[in-house]
Amino acid sequence: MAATFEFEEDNGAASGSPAKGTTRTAARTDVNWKNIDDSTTTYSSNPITAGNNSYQKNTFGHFSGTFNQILSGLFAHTATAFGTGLTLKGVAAASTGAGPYTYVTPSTTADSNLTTDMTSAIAIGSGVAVWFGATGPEATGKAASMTTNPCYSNWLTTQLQTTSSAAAGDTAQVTLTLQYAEN
Amino acid sequence: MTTRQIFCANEQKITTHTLEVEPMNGEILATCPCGRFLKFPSDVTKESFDELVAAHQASNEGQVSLEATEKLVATLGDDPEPAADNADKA
Repeated sequence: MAATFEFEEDNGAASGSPAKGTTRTAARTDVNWKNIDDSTTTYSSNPITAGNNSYQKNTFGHFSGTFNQILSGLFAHTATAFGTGLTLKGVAAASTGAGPYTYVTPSTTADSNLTTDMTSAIAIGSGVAVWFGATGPEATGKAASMTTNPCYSNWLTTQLQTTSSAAAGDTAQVTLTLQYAEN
Repeated sequence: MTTRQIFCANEQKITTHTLEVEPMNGEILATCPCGRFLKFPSDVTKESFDELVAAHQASNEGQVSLEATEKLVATLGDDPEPAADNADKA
């Protein structure tokens, strides 16, 4: 038997302590950076004007099913280049129980708490460390390995930032990878 | 023109970034000569800007892009066979 995994996404105003989104949507299969804070509206209906930024995408992993331990998490942009005028920012490496990111009400303002430049594709082995929490990505007491079932990765928040030189139309479809080990 | 020494994640070194205001949303835009850029909120102070620049470097030093690795691999192959010298066959 193995762990069951799915990506999930929070949207809406920050609520609670520690903060999380008002809405949590399960079973997300893609991340579309757009000019609206939700996980369902078609991105082409809410395009980002060149020079502006997307709303943050507050994605995370949810582990359930059967497992002894989830550990060795890594997160990175692993395939396909972005075009000119596009920068993808993401969370820093996890290193504390409360970190590496605190949920804020999404906006199109450049999020200075997203310090990792994920614009270039890199090998997943060079990705940022991901820790796991027992009650959600917002949980305190996150650690590099977790035996609690279910458990959650830390926030894997990203934001697409653009300049006026960004080309019109869709960006390239890129791959973001969350790698983990289980036993 | 205002410039600032900032670490570029693409170049993996500190480069001279041009600082300007993004005309669309008024944010602070720092652009490396390679084309990679950073954006900062318009309400930063000098002190907070310095902290953000330092945090950016700490988060991105050591990145090796797949593109850079592929370029390296292209240089590691065997040297090509030298072209035949037709004068030797005369």
